[in-house]
This record gives sequence, structure tokens and C-alpha cells, in this order.
Amino acid sequence: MFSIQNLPYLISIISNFLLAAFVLSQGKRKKVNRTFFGAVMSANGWLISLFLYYNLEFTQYILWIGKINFAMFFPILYYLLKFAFVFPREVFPFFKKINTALKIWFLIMIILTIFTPLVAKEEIIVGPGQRKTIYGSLYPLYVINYFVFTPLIITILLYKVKKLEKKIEKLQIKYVLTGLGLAMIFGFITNILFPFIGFFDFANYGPLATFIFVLFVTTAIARHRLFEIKVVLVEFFVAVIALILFAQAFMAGTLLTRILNWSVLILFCIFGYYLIKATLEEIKRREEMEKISKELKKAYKELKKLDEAKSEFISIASHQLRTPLTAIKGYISLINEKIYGRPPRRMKKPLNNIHTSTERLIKLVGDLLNISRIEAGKVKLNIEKVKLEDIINSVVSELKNLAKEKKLYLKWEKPRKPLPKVLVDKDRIRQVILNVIDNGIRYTERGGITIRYRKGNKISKLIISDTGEGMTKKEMLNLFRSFTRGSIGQRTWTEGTGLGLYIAKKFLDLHNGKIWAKSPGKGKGSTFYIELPIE
Amino acid sequence: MGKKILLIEDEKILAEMYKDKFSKAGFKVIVAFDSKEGLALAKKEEPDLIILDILLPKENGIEFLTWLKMEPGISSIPVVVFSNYDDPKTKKKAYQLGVKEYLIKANYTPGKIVEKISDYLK
Repeated sequence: MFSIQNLPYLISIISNFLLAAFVLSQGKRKKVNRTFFGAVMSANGWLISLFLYYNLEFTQYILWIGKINFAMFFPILYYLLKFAFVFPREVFPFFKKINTALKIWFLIMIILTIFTPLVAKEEIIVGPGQRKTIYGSLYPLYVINYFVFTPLIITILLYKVKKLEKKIEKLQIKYVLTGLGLAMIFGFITNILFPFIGFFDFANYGPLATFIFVLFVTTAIARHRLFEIKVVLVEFFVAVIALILFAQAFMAGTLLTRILNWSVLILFCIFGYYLIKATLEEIKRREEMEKISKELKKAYKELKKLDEAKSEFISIASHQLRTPLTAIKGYISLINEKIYGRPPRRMKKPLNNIHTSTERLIKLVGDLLNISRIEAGKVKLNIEKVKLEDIINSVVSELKNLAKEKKLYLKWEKPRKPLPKVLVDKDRIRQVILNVIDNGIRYTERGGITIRYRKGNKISKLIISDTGEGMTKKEMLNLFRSFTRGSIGQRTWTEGTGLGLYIAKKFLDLHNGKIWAKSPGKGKGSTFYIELPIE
Repeated sequence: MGKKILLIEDEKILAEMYKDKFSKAGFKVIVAFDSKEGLALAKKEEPDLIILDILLPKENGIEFLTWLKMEPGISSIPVVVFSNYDDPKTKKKAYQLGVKEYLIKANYTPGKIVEKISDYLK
């Protein structure tokens, strides 16, 4: 009874059962798993009855077997329909209500098919593997079941692909639909296309179509590398080719071809194993990369959030620090303006000291705010074309009183020709020039500060020289770092924040400009050079 | 009669200090302590200029500027932001909403700010 042509039946029935049992073992109480198991068992029942139908030669049983084979179609339809409703989860609340009606309907159809001659009246054995069915009057109703429920199953699944939001669930249904599609194409090729063009033997591979479908649905339910259709396809094709080779190895006639076929099969299995392994490794690596990239993205997001919170905190904190300082600064200036009457003469010095200390604190707050933004890379330049002399004039006018208080001169040797316009952030460059001149005033006790301008090749150069204490070479090296003061500064002057030149350098860097200093030595003054590109 | 200024400032000490100085300089000063009161007073008094703080209780200065833009009668009143909140984004937004200038309070004595405002109103 058993011949090599029946091998696909055996393979399909066993593999279907193994896959369905695997799915059931993954969740015995889950509706999806149980429904799938039911569907596969019905399909296997159909395959077994089909196998018996074509292979048993006992006329007294053939009608019963044929009828059972016809009837097995209904549990398949029922379980597939139920599967479409419950997989990957139920979205239609009315399913529970129609479930009983469906069960009754299919039960009636089964009874009518098996126990009455209304569907199949007679089965005739024409020859080995050849049968003829004489249909009953209700056979059209039997066919209608197929044309009603099959499109319904597909429609439900397609609707769920659209409706469900989770990517994984969409993918799960797509796998089921792909399995269904591939099985139908396979069945069409083996049982319709090839017999049509004269290759009848291929019809024996037809049952394998159920295996294709079962394999895809198992993958979908177990969510086995679901996002990696590539590996599933590789696994699938390796399995299919291995099965074909296996069948051929069995069917081979001579010993030599048999040995040859078995060798090819073994070699193929080895290569197939390595192919799947390589594909899996590649995917594993990609998954790891994706995981790392996801984690990095998450970490970056969190950092950005933290960074924004920090920036806001600094802005608010400096606001809070500045507010009382504004009041102190304001009231001191009002007292000095004699708004509240003339203050006693002996109050002049303490009031000046309060004023100087307040200004120092205000400057420090501003400098710290600038530095926190520079170091966070948050400084955005507002570039515009400006006249450099306007900036220098405004700085000189702001600092002239400070110089006057120390009895220093502050000379701006403005060239006769108007200075070329520069493309800069006005406020930042003003801050740079102000910091350098302010620094000169602080570190000079006699003489004063001179500002000169020189035009170079596509650059504007400002030269700010003072007659102050000068610097050693070592001091010059550290000049543009934060919280660094010249040793003279540390000894004589303590009101510098130690941040002015550092900020000046950072702002100039952002403008592609340069700043450097020269000093012939201690007691011989210093000269600062600021270079800005003209365009 | 001097020019009329609306000062929107929630820090009482500062509000008092600036009010004193502006009044002594001959301005008529109206003070509001939050944005809503500021808008109501702007509608009622129609000042020549508004000095606006940014960090205010409930709605901030930027929201005040948005409301002001939607009030046809008073939307053209010049506004100078006068705040210790030195945040580039806020500054940009304020300029987009048409303020004349964004000044940092700590950099100005009352005398200096009076000079600056007088220049605007000349």
C-alpha cells in the first residue's frame, strides 16, 4: 500500500503534527494555540482520509472514507475561521455570540455529509489511485461553504492588519497570510499547473502545501524571529529542498544513483545547516547593533532632556542671583546720586567698596552663564555686518570711568580711514574687546591702555597694549584658560573673575578669529592681539 | 505732563526702586505685578512705553507680548524687555514678538535705564 509517491503525505502529516504539538506546548491554555492545534489536527485528519481514499482498495469502505474526507473540510474551515478571529487577539466582541451558531452549522454539515447521500452519493474505484465521486443534490451547498468562509477568513485577517496598531501583531498576521498565499501557490503548481501541462507525478507533493502553511503560522504564533523573514525563508527553502532530495534518494533506482542521491542529500544538509547558521549569526549581529543603537538613542534622548534641564536651571539660577544684586547695585547708585540726601563723607569709601563688589559679582554671574553655555556648545552666533569702530567706541565709553578712577589713560588711536565692516555677532565681539581692555585696566597701576587697529590680508587686527605689570612666559601659556590669573594678578589684584580671557578666546574661536598676548617681561607691560576675518 | 510708562515687574523692591527713579525723572509710572494686570492697565492707561519683566507669576512676559499683539488698540505701544532672565530662546522669541530691546537688569543702574528709556521716547 505504501509507495514512494505517498512520502509527501507522511512527511506532511508528521511535520504538521510536530509543529502543532510544539505550538500547543508553548501555551496549552491559550486560545490561539489550541485553535491552531485543532486546525492542524483537522488538516491531518483530512490528509489521512485522503491518503486512505486513494490507497485502500476495499469497495465496502470507500464511500465512508470518501465521506469522512469530505466532512473533514468543515472542522478545518471552523478552526481556521476561529483562528482568524482569535489571532493574535480577539478584536470582534461578537465572535463569542456567533461561535455557537458556527459550531451548530458545521456540525449539521458534517452529519449531512457523512450520514446522508446528499453530498457524496457514491464512490467508485476506477483503478489504483483513481477514484470517481457521484455527487448528491446538496453538493452545491458544500461548495458554497468554501466560497463563503474562505474569503471571510482572508477578509478578517486583512482587516486586522489594518486595525491592529502593534507592529509585531501586524507582522504576525502578515506571516499567516504569506503562509496561506505560498501554500495556495504551491498547491496550484503541483496539483493544477503541472498536471495541466502533463507532469502528473507532482500531484503527490500537493499535501506539502499544508506543511508550508503550518510552518508559517507556527512561526507567527511562536514569534520565532518574526522580524526576520529572511531567516524564515532560508529555513523554509532548505527544508523543502531537503525533503525533495530525501524523496529522490528513496525513489532512486540503481544502487549507484541511490548512493549519489544520498551523498547529495547529506552534503546539502551540511551546507544548509551552515547557511542557516550564517544567516542566523548575521541577523543576531544586526539585532545586537539595533539593540545598541536603540539604547544609544534612548540614552541620547535622556541626556538631551538633562541638558535642557541643566540649561534652564542655569538661566533661572543666574536670574535669581542677579535680582538681589540688581537691587543692591540700583540702591547704591541712587544713594550716590544723593536721591536719599547727601551721605556722610566717611560713607563714600564703604559705598564704593559695596559698588565694586556688587559689580564683580554681577560680572561673575554673567561669566559663569557664558561659560556654561560655551562648554555645553549652546552658544549660537547672531552674525551680522557691523562697523568695528562702533563696537570699540561703545566699549571705550563704558570703560573710560573705570580707567579714570585709577588715573589711567584709555587711548583709542582710531585710523583716519573708516574700518572695514566685519561679519560678527556684535554682542559677543563687544564682550571680547571689553574683557581684554577691562583686564588691561585691572592689571595696570600706572600709565594706561592704548587701542590700535591694523588691517591685514582679509583680517582685521586690534592691538591693545598696556603699561601694566607684564607677564612671564609661563603665565602667558596659561592666560586663556579658565580661572587662571597671572602671578602678579594673584598678588596684587583679586577682583578679576579669572574667566574674562577664557571667554574672549572661546568667542573668538567661534568666529574663526584669534587672540594672543606678548609681553617683554615683568614690569614692561603686555600687548594683546585680536584678529578677526573681514568676511 | 511727562510721558506715561507701564512697568510690569513682580519684584516689589525693584518695582519700587525703578518707580522712584522714573518719577523723579518726570515720568508718570504705573506698576503692574503680573501679565494679566499689565494687559488690563495697558488697555486702560494706554502708556507711551511698556517696560516688561520676563519671569512673572503665572503667565510670563512672552505670553503678555502675545496677548498684546492681539489687542488692536494697544499693540503698537513700544515694549522694552527688562529682565535678569538671560535665555537665548526667550530673547529670540521676544524679538520676534516685536520688542525694541532685551536688556539685562543687572547691567543697568536706575539712572542708566532712565537715560535709555528717555532716548526711546524722544
